[in-house]
Amino acid sequence: MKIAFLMERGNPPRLNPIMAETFARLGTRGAAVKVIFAEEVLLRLDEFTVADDLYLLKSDSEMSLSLANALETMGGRVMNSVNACMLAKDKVMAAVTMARAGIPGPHSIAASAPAFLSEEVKAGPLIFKPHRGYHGVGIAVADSVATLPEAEAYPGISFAQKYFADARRDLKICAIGDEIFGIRKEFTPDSYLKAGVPERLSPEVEDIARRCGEAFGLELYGLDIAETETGPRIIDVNYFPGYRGVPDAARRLADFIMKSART
Amino acid sequence: MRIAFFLTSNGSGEEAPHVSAVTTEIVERLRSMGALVDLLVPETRAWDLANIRPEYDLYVLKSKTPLTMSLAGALTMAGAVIVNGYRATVLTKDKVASTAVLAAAGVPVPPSWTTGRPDLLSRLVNGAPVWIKPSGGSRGRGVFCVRTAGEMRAVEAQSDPWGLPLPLFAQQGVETSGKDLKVYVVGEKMWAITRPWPAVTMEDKLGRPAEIPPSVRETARACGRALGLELYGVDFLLSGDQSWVVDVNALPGFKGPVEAPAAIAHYLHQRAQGLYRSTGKVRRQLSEASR
Repeated sequence: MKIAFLMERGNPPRLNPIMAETFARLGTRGAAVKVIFAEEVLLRLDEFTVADDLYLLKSDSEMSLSLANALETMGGRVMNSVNACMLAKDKVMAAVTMARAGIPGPHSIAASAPAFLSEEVKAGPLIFKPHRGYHGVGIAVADSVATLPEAEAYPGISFAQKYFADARRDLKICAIGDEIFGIRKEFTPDSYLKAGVPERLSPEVEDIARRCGEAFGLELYGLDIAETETGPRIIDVNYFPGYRGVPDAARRLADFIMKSART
Repeated sequence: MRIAFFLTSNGSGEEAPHVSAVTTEIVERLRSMGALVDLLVPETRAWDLANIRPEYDLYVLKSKTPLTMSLAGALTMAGAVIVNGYRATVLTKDKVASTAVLAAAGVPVPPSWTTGRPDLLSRLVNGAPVWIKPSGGSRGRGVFCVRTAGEMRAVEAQSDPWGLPLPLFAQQGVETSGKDLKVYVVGEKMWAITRPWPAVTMEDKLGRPAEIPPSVRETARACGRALGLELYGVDFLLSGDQSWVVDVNALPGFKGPVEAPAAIAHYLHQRAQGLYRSTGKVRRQLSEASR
């Protein structure tokens, strides 16, 4: 069994210990594990072929998604599916996916420039996000027409969500197949490196998380939750999160990946 | 029958779309066939993402701006019929992915590479020209040619406005007889024009009608099949008996072949009636998952 991981190198370079342990466990179970840091090598595209039985997309970069798309189109198996990753990556498509599936999220709007959202921002604060961004970059909150971002801040697409200023926003959900885990972790610039504290999820939140995974077609995913006065809302959907804080994460990941690779 | 064309703005700051002569003829022909045709510029309004649903029998994905692409993806998911398909258009725009897919389908593409590290490109310098292209670019924007180690050292890493990395794409230059062949495909029909390479004047760009050698015809079809395209252009560079595919475009301008607008109108009219349903694996719809 040959399993390849498409990964991005952090800055400074580091490997999530959960991923390191997952590779080791897959190796113990007889899989040949390969890690592709696509940005770090010179990759010959006209000789690029499907060489492994399963590819895990564990990188948010555009290059990794491009390569995953190529591999899947060429007949390779990619997890999460490229379809699911494309829906999660593009915040416009993610918002529509959630709305169509009846999953509670913030009211979301897309336009070519922030100025189109003047009426919306009068009704309440908005949070702007780069529509294909990750790692928390480029986020801005506006609470009036005067504080709307400049047009140059979001070239091409201005994507904004209603901002729940008073909501608690430290609940994350991580899913490995049908297993759903809650983690409390405050957002800081380096919070993605931190473990957080496991938390038992209410049946309502667990149900929303499960339906969200199904709507996107995601199997390994993370969700950010805002706990608002009117109930929980999903404010972000990620494919293949870091799983820091999930009990026995590496064992569960290795089990799930091995099981998937064999079917 | 209702058909929408997604178009770019004409840049005047008004809401008017940019409509080429070819598009104008396609639209007039569709209207004379009884279709209601709207020309939409997605950039001229805000879109409430809780209320995205198909309002036309067919959307024509002529503009490929970020907002148009995201809306096209969302509409596809909601069941809209879009030509070319969203996934096919994404794949075709993406030089990193499409080059690998074309080569794997047996299409002759020049040696091509991707990396995030410009320093690794230095090993590609061997006297032959190397083209550096932005991975998601179009119409030659941001494309340049590198010949020396010094020029290659000046190539910078690419990133988006927030510093997130974007891939560099490099392609070895191929010797040509000084002409390129642009092949245009509409469903089962195909035309070609030949142009001096590089094309400089407007007359150059219009080119002259040309015969299509059987091997080129076959290769053009292979490109469409591999990428899942219906209306597309394939740019060939000819070098003796060898032909290289250097670019594939989803719904290009179709400038040149005079029969193209009528054929496109006919094709879209059929598609809006649910005919020619796509079957290829790339043409599969982006869909809400059901497990």
